[in-house]
Parts: sequence; structure tokens; C-alpha cells
Amino acid sequence: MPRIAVLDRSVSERIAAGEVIERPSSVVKELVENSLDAGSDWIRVEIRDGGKQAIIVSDNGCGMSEQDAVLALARHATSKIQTLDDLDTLLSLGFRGEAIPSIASVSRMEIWTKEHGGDGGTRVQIEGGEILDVSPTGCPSGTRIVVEDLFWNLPARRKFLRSPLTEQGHVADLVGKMALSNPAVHWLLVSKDRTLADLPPGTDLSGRVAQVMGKVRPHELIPVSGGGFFALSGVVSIPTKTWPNRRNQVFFVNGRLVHSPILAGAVSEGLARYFPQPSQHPMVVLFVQSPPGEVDVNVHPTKSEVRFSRPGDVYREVATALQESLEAGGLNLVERAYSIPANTAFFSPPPAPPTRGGEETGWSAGRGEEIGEDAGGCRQAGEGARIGEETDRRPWGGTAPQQMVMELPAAYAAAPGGQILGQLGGTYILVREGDTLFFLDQHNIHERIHFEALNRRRESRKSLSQGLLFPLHLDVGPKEAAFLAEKLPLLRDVGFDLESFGLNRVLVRAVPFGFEKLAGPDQIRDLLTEISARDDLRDPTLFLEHATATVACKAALKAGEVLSEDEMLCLWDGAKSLANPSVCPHGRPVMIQLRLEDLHRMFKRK
Amino acid sequence: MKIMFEKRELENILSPVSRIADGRNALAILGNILVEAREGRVKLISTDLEIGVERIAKGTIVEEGAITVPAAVFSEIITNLKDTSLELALNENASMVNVQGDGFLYTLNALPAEEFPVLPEIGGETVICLSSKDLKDAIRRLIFAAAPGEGNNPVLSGVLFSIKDNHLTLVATDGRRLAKRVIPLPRSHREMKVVIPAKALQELGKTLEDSEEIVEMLVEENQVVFKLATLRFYTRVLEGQFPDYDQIIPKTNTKRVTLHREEFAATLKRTAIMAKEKEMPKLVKLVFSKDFGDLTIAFNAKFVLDVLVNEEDEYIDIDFKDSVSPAIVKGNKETNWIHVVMPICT
Repeated sequence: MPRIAVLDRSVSERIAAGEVIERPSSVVKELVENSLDAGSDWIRVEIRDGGKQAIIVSDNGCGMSEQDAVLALARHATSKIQTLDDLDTLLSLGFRGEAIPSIASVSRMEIWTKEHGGDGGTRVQIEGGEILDVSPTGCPSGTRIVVEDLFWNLPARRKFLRSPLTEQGHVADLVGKMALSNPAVHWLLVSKDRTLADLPPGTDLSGRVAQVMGKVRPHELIPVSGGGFFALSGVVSIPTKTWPNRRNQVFFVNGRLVHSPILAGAVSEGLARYFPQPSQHPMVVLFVQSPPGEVDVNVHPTKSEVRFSRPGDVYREVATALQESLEAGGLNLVERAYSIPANTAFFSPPPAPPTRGGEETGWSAGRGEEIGEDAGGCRQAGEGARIGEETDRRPWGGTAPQQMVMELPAAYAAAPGGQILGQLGGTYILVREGDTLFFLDQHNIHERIHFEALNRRRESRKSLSQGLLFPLHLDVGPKEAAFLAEKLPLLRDVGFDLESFGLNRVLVRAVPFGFEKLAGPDQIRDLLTEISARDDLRDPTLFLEHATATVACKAALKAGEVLSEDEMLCLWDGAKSLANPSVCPHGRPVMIQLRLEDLHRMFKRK
Repeated sequence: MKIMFEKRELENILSPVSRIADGRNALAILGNILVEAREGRVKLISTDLEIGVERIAKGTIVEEGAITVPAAVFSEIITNLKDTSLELALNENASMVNVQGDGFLYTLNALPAEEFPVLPEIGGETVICLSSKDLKDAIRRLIFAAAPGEGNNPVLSGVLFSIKDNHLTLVATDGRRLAKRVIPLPRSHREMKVVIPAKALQELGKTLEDSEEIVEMLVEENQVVFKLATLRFYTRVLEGQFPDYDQIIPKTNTKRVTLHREEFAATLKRTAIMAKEKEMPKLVKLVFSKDFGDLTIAFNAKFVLDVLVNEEDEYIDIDFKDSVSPAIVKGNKETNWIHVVMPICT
């Protein structure tokens, strides 16, 4: 008897299914992608018992004829491509023709489908991949697929499913992310009879990201756009909103949710200036549109990995686009981050809008903003210098335009000086400008000013270094000395002229120009030690950002230093010319503002 | 104790004394001035434990004695009096003093004179004799080059006084620039080196007058005193090895540019108005295209300006070798003064 035998079809199908179908959320993914490819603008996902008992995906897409419905169950049957060449120009999400048969082979499945304008619907019943019954039936246009008892015939795999709540979480995460990339679709996620999410179409991206991801409010997101060869769009959170991991970074390539180390790397580099603390990551939702021929999605059956034909280009374009978008934020970032939010607690709640499915904090805050504005009387156009109109124009949630307060006080243009009120606790500088009170953290703002100045020098390739009359011999330790020796050319870009000098010594010939605080040997030694502490930064750009941030920090005023009015004025002037006056390079806020209307609200005048 | 003063004379003497007294010091008595009337002389004394000032005041002693009065309040009272005579006397309550005259009476809290720190007795040899004018001038022209604050290289926050071969050499440096002045001494002194805190010298400079009166400097261990007829100025000295300045003073700077001092200074000040980064020091760049080949040398504008405004010649010379080696800035007729400035590499 031969040892090698061709597997029974049902066995091989189940093995193949294992590659694509891992857990309920994989089923949802495949079915929802089909729904999207069918042109649906309403998709309802229902799960029972976390999807273990049943997964029901209904849509209002084009539906299938009886013939198609049966054919869909054959492996590699697909409507999406016909020849191999089509793979290159692929625009649909699915194409392998594996999804339906794979799911069918490991579950009990029912397909209810009716073509638009068709006479009647079709119902197909399948169990373990075998068609049990095909019969005409009455049903709404579109397709409804019921998947019950997932892995009933693969007990081992079924055993490895997690608790219903965990599986539900995976499904919710997936549906949320799909909803991000398909804003024109009305999404519903239902568990048993409870609506987990109701995401109506027409919500702008910031609003939808806030709904789906939670954790942020829409105005804490900055729109991203740009690219060249690749078209890029998306949002990134303001620099005060960060998380200790990258879980809040979502990438779509041609509408497909992907994991991409290249994109993640580009985000890190592009944002290094704003989020240089490597342990802190912003929220990023990024859509990359590329001509189909430039991306290979056929790397893995779940298509969650992609290969770019031009990885360098996509990396550079993404990094640049993010950087530019944050730079364009300017002083708006301060407003976004630190103005007192118009919290509903301060005044009576707004009337309930007609559709308020998934209640998100973003909703109430956003509407509150609007009410607060109304109560405050409409602002006249001439009243304040208007910036950030882009945000003003964006409609949100299909209701009244979102009224983000993006105005600087009227006095801004007239009296650019601002009035220094004093120093609080030897740490905070109080400045009044028009009707707004600013609180500056003297260390953080000074650090930020230094940081940007150093970056400007670096970018213009004019690192200025002050030569020392008496070169300093510093004992920094063997490990640090070796590390610094390796980084000598890079450190020159920051303004250091160092020379290796023996096993644990460096000779400092010049230091960055313009930092009086970096005068003594001890300060310079501390600085170099701190720079050497990040020997994990292999990437030269990241290392330079780190070195620059460290110089900026060490050279900055410390909390507790008493400042003269001139010094405070200098800081305030510096603060206003900052490209990004929101956080210091370590992610701490540089200033907070309190407007007159904030005070009115707090005192319940409005 | 009872002393009579003329307001105007007291006021002149009081201000340098009260400047040293610091009311914020944890040791309350350091905020006071010691007034001492003994052996026919009235002395006003103050100290912050690093610097001490003792001045002899013109006053008529009615009754001898000593007491300390709060410096700030006392000097404010005196400043605001009209020209008149006044009397400083112990109250019946011994912890108070009365300041009174024609139509006014102030009663101040006093602290007993015994609690006031005793200024050191510095005897020994007079090491330097200089005119008050020369010393004041020298201080003004090099004090800016010393490092501000003690930082962690304290010796650089002082000025080196070095005596060798009938010459007194004064050097101040913050590690990026250096000012050096050589003053010939009328008679020979023993060789000596001492570093005096710039802060103390600054105070001394303010106190000294533009006169030909001779200042004697006496050194003892870690203390120095400057003596005049009516003033004694005490200061501690700084410990540490002053850098070997001679080796970094360039000897072979062959390129020289001569500039009109005041015009150059005015230009630097004007450009500073427009410099964008207010919080940053400004650069001054000298760009040469013909005489020295293509050469650009840049300095911290403040370093150059400090020299310009404190020198006196009509023209100044900048001697340099290239864009990275130390340059010399000095008045073009000057022989005793030298400033070394380290360029900025761009």
C-alpha cells in the first residue's frame, strides 16, 4: 500500500480553510470584503456568542443569481478576476475565490441572496462544504450569509477559540477598521440583539476615527494629506495624545487593512520631531492609494501583508506628509490640545440629534462646542484673526458644521507683544494677550525653542559650534566613549566637535553654539552620557532627533529658576515663532491657554 | 551710642555698603549694616560672608558704641531725606535705634553688634599698589570675559591676578574667549598668583572712584583685601587651577583686518535688532573674498561687541589665522590689552 495518498477533498479543504479562517473575525473579514466588493452601502454584522454560535453578515449589495450562488462555493471561483494579468490591476478586496468555500467547509452555512431587480431570491444551505439544498425564496435585495457553528467539524480549532468577549472584541475591531476605510457605508454591528456600533455614512474621517477608535476627540486629530506617486490621506493625533504602543496605528493600502513595517517605520520617522519619545506613539489612520501594479497583496492568504514595488518612495512620502501636516498645524495645535473643552457639564445638554447610534465622547464634546458658540453669540468675521479654516469648513456628522474655536483673540494682530503678567511658582509664565491668558511652562517652552532652532540649523546644514579655547577632557566611561566615537560625524551635525581620546575619554573641542548653560565640563559630560544612553537608535535620523532633543533639554531653563521680565518676554516671543508650540520633545505640554469664554463657562455665565 | 551725620555724606558711603547686605539671607544679620563708633572713627560694615566692605564715614561721635541696622530700610530712609543733619542713636530699648532730625523720627529694629561676623584681619605684605582709576578701568575691561556664575568650573568665574617680573597680569576667560591685561608695576613684587571672584571685582569696580588714590592689595591665604583711605574691600579667593592661558594666545595670526571701532559696534547693534531668534546669541560673520582667499570667520557677536564697547582706540584690529583657530581682537594702538575669541564653526 502506498504511503502517500491524495487527501480526501473535504480534508484538504479544511486544511486550506485553516489558512484563511482562523477565528470568527476572519469570517467577518472575508464576508464583509465580499459585501464591499458587491457595492453595498449598508452592511450589518451580527454575531452570537462572539461568533462561535453564529455570524450573520447582511448587505444591500448587488446580490447573486442562483447559478452564481452555487458556483461561489467552488474553490477559486471568483467574479473579481479572470486572468492572471487582472491581479496586477486589482481594485477589489477579494480575488482568490477561496473565502466562501473555505468558510463553508468548516461551518454550517446559509446564503440568502437576491439580485437587484431580480424576480426572487435564492437560499443555499451548506454543511461542511456539501451543498444540502438550493431553493428559491423571498428575500430583500442583497446577500445575507449565515455562518453557524464555526469549526464544528474541526474540534481542535474550535477548542482554541477564545472567550466570546475576546472574539467579539476582534470582530468589533475589524468592523471598526473596515468602517474607517469605507465612510460611505452605513455600518451596523450587533451582538445578539444589542447594537454595538451604528456608524451612519457621511461622517468625516476625524469624527469616524473618534467613534471607532475611541480615546480621542475629533478635534484632537489633524488631517494628513500629501504624497506624490502614492496618494496619502488620513489623520494623526495631536502630539499630546500618545500611547505606549502602536496599536492605534492603522494602515490601509488601496482600501485594504494591512500590517506594514515599512509604513510603521515611516510614521516613526516622520513624527520623530513631534513624538521623539520612542516609547510614545500617536494615533495614526493612514490611507495609501497606489496604482494597483505597484503593490503586491498576494503575499499571504489573508492579504494582511503587502509589498510595495517602491518601498523607498512610499516610506519617504509618508514621512514627509505626516511631518508637513503637523507643521501646518502650527498654533492650532495649542488650541486643539489645551483650550478648555466645552464640556457638557458646564451647561445644559444639547437636544438629542435624530441619529445618535454609537454614543461617543466625541459627539457630546463636539456638539457642546457648537452650543457654547451659539450661546456666546456669533463671532463676527472681523473680530479675530481666523486660522485653521480648513477645520472650520469640514462638516461633521451630517449635522451643523463643527464649530471648532479656531480664532485667536482680536488683540493678536494689534498687539503682538502680549503682556507678561509674571511667573508662577518659579515655573510657569503667565501672559495675557487680548482676552486670552496663556500659561507657559518655562522649561518645556525653552526646550521646544532650542529644539526647533537646532533643527533649523541642522536642516540648513549650518550646525554652529562654538570652539573652546581649552579643549575639555571628559571621562565618560568606556562604553560611552566607544559609542560617541562611532557617532562623531553625526554629532558634528548637532554642533559637537569631539575626538576620541583613549579608552574612556573624549576630547571636546567645540560645543553647540548659543547655549550658555552648556558651559561647564560637568554639564557637557552629563549631556554626552545622556546622548549615549540611547545606543539602540540605529537609524541616524532618529539618533539625531534624540541628540538634538537632549541638547535642547539640557540647555533649557529649569523649573524653579526665577526669571526677569525680559527673559519671560524673550520666551514668549520665541514661543510665538514656534512651528509646533504644543509639546516639548519629550511630549510634555509647553503652554495652556484660558480664554475669556472658558472663564465665562466656568463661572456659569453662559 | 550716638552719632551725628550729614545726610549727603552718609548717603554716598552707604550705598556700596548696603548693596552687599542681603536681606534674603537665611542669616538675618547679614541683611544688616554694622555701624561702629570707636576711637573717633565711624565705620559702616557689611558682608555676605564672601565679600566684606568696610567704609569710614564722616560723622561726629557723641557717644561711642556699635549696633547693626537693617540695610535696606536704613538706606531707603537716608536716600529719601532732604539735605539735613541727622542723629543715629540707641533707643532706651536697646534692641531699637532711632534715626532722627529736624521734624522726623524713625525707630528701627536693631541687632546687637556682637552677632555680626568679624571681618578677617589681613596683615602681611602689600603685593600690589595701583591707582584707583587704573584698577577700576582694568576691571571694567575684562570682567565680561569671566564665566557667569560659578558653574562647575568655579575658577573660571574669577579673574586671575598674576605677578611676575614687575608686571601684573590680569586674565579672565569663560573658555570661549579671554581677556588679558598687562600692567607694569612701579616696583618689584614677589611672584604670586591669585584668582578673585568676578562678582567681587564687579562690586569693587562700582565702589572705586576715578581717582589717582592708591589702592593697596594684600593677600593672605584664601583672603584678599583692597585698601584705600576710607575703604576696605575684603573677598575670598577662588580655589583651583587657572587654565594655562599663554599657550592658547595665538602667536602666528598673520591675517589682520582693521575696523572703525564705533562704526563696527553700531553696525552689530543694529543687526541685532533684526535677528530673528531673540533668545539666541547672534553671530557676526566676516566674509573675505580677495585678500585672504575665500575665508569666512564667525564669532559670537556678543563676544566681539563686549570688546568693542570696552576698548577705547578709534580702530580695532582682528588678527586671525583661519576660520577655526582663535582670533585676537584688540585696539590697534593698544599694547597692554589683548582679547582672544574662539570662532564659531559654521
